[in-house]
Amino acid sequence: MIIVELRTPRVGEDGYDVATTIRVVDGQADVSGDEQLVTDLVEVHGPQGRVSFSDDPEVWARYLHTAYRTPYLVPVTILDTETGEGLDLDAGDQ
Amino acid sequence: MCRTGGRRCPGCNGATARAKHNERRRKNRAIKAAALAWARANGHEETAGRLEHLPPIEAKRFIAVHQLGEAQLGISLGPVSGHRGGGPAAAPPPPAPAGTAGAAFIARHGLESDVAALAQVAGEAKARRLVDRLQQLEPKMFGRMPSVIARGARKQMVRAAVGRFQNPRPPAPPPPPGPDWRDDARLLQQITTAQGSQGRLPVERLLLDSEPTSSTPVGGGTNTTVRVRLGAGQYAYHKPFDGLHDSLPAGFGQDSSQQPVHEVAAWRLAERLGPPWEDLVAPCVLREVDGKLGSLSMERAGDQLIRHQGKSLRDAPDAAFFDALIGQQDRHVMNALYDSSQNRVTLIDHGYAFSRPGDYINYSNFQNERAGSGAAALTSAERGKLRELLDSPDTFGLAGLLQPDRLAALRQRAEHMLATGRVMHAGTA
Repeated sequence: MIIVELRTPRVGEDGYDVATTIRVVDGQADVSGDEQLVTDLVEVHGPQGRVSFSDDPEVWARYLHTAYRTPYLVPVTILDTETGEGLDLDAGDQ
Repeated sequence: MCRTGGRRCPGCNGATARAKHNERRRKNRAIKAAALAWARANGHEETAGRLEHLPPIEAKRFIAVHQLGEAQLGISLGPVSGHRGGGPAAAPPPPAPAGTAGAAFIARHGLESDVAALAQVAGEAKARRLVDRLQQLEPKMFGRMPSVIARGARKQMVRAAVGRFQNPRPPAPPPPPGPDWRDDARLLQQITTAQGSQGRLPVERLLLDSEPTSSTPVGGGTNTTVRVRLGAGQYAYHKPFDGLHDSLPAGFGQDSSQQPVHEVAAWRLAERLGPPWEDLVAPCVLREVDGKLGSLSMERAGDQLIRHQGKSLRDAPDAAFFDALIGQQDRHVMNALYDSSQNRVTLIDHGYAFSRPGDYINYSNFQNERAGSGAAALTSAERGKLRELLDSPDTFGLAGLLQPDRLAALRQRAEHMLATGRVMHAGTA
């Protein structure tokens, strides 16, 4: 399961806004927000080669940072049960 | 129960001990049955189904989580008379590893046994932390999913946490120490060249002289980029040389430490080409921000180009010419902006450009679209600029800024376009 947000800057102002949220659970993808930013027109470089969103939405979301690399559109992983990112189990540990 | 010898140790094998043991078993069965009945009557069918096949201790945990009393269960939960050796009764199972709100959340979503399993392998504190995290994510994540999917997703998250503790992965080995860019004499020479030629233009002076009022790391991405506030409404993006080591550039035949240099080189070339090309690229210099040297590019307004697919964009042919000249390797629909208020395209991300023959080309949308259209022929202005570039002693300021083989490849592409009179497809020259 993976949840990734696509964030865009507030041009001329502080901060970023969430433009799109991609949730993939058991291979089923749910996209909320600007769906145009989730597209088969851009493939990512996954561990087994190039992957489109239609091929495998979970892998596409996980490796989105290989394709969306500019500060104008930033993929941020909120949760990834495969890598443990976002479980925050160690937060606060000394 | 003692483990010495048979089922019971000699001390526990007397008639009195057996009677007490049997009484405890009857009591526990009654508690379990009462818990199952309450669960089924109160919408916890799935949980009841699981508890039916689990030891009574799990039913007692369920009772503790839901804070059920004797009145609700209809039986006495008092201690069984006597215990091994006549000591005090066993302590009740610990409450759910969360505050009252957390316990209610766990119960509402049928997570009792999953959270209990996590507490068992990772400890109460981490289980509590995970429940907090689940509740944090609830409003905008699980709460937005269809309930059946959300239920499975919550469980998946807890089980993933259990898995990480049951089968801890060894920490990823640290990447092999790459060469420190400060020890790269050729790169330092490139940096010196860049710094020696920048600052002639007012916009470059603005980038060089402004004292940032804030700097915020931009999350994600393969590079460490910082958004810098230069003044009222003016922002720029700083890409430092530090922290650029990752495997992606190698796939493009690129050295990660060249990326800030390529950003500056793209601007330098665009600026020297003049309009319309100088309007396609954001001004960029090399300077320190927060003590780190890197490229600093002015922020540009605009949407991702994909939002304007299918539109005839005034700047598209000029963008194609520029990308063909610089040997762009990764111009996809997210690596360009379009500002509809100014009818202007901005080309962003030149890290994977200035390629050499044979280097991997991922995307070069503008270039390939023009090359395959009826507008591939160069305009007289484009031919003129290519001649100027090739006649320029320092190739429009790129000599010494680009690595020699990349400079040679750029000149080769310029010569090819002049010879053919056309914008070629990416990777063909």
